[in-house]
Amino acid sequence: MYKRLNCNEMDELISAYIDNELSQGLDEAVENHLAECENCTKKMSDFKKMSNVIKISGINKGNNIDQDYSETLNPYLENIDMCSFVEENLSEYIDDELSHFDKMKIKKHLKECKFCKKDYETLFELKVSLKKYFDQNLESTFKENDLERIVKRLTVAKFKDYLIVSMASAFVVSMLVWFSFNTLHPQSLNANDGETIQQINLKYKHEEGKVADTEDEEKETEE
Amino acid sequence: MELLDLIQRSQNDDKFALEELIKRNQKNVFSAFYHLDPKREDLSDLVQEALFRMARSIKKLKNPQRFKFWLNQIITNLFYDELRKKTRRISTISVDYSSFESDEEDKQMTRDIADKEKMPHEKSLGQELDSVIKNAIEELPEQFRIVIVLRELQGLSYDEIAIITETNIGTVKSRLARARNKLQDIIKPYLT
Repeated sequence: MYKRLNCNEMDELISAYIDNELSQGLDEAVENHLAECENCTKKMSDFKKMSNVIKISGINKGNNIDQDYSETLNPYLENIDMCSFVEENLSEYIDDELSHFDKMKIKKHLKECKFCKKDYETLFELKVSLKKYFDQNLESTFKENDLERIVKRLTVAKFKDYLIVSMASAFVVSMLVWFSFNTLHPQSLNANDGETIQQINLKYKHEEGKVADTEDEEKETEE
Repeated sequence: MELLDLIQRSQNDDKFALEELIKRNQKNVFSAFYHLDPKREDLSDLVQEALFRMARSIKKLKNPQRFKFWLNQIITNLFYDELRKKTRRISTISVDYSSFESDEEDKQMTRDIADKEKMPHEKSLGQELDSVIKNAIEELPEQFRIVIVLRELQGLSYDEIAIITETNIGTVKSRLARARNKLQDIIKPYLT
């Protein structure tokens, strides 16, 4: 059982850890430290990316350089890209929100890359813990009289709606009646506000009389 | 009775179906508000208001299949309304939220830290990890807390969360990832 490592010791061991050159015990000690130290975790992630770049440079410096080294380089370049892709989309992957194609890409990469696999496992553990936490039954404070209050409020709200609709309908109907009475009734053309039917009739007769007098006068004038 | 059946009956003025619908959803609504803002003393008032709004506008729900999404819209809108009305309370003081400042458009509306004293309905949460998770979620800014609750508790899709929070899927994805990173940092020592 190895002692707890400090960050300086981690700096010495990172490279060997990435290259799988540590014993099992030391491997575990490194992982335990990474679980608790954000700084070293970040360094590990950066170092992982750098090591791929170093591998590419190593190939370039080989004695027998393959002119067409794109085939050799591509897996390393793809690996850097894939790790970044996984890092950006891990949350979506775990939530099953990715397209089928992207999901398959990440699934394949997780089988090949132990660092991304570790990230995935940590995130998965978090999801499980959050699910357990949220699934717990909280003691709700909702009581029977709360339901009664809601039902009462609903009744009052419905009554208010009914009242508004009734008043609006009554207003519309009365406007229609007033309008039709004033437009269709012939005497209504000379009717003033407040006049009774009798007064209107008298007025009408008086108007008829005036018209008759006027007609008689015209006849006499002609004669 | 199936939920869809219950909703349809409620929409047809079946009083008993409506009451049953309220009873079935009260726990979920309470849970959502509790996790969004555990320190509120008027949680039951909020729950009542949300259930009232649900019952009042049940007829406006055109597609009963989307009931869960629709109910969460009511919950989130009410939560936002309350946030706007909220005044600074004595039990809260400023917290460091500088790690979330960078490119986040919507700033945290209030800055709170957890008042460590347990509320009555918290007595059922016994274990240390639960307590750590609860405090960790409380320490998240509101916008991050909302996406965590809508995703992890309510099980909504990214698309639905984007509509409810009036953002886009990219923002939802970013908030969720950052919220999870923050929770991970706090919870990691307690995970096996």
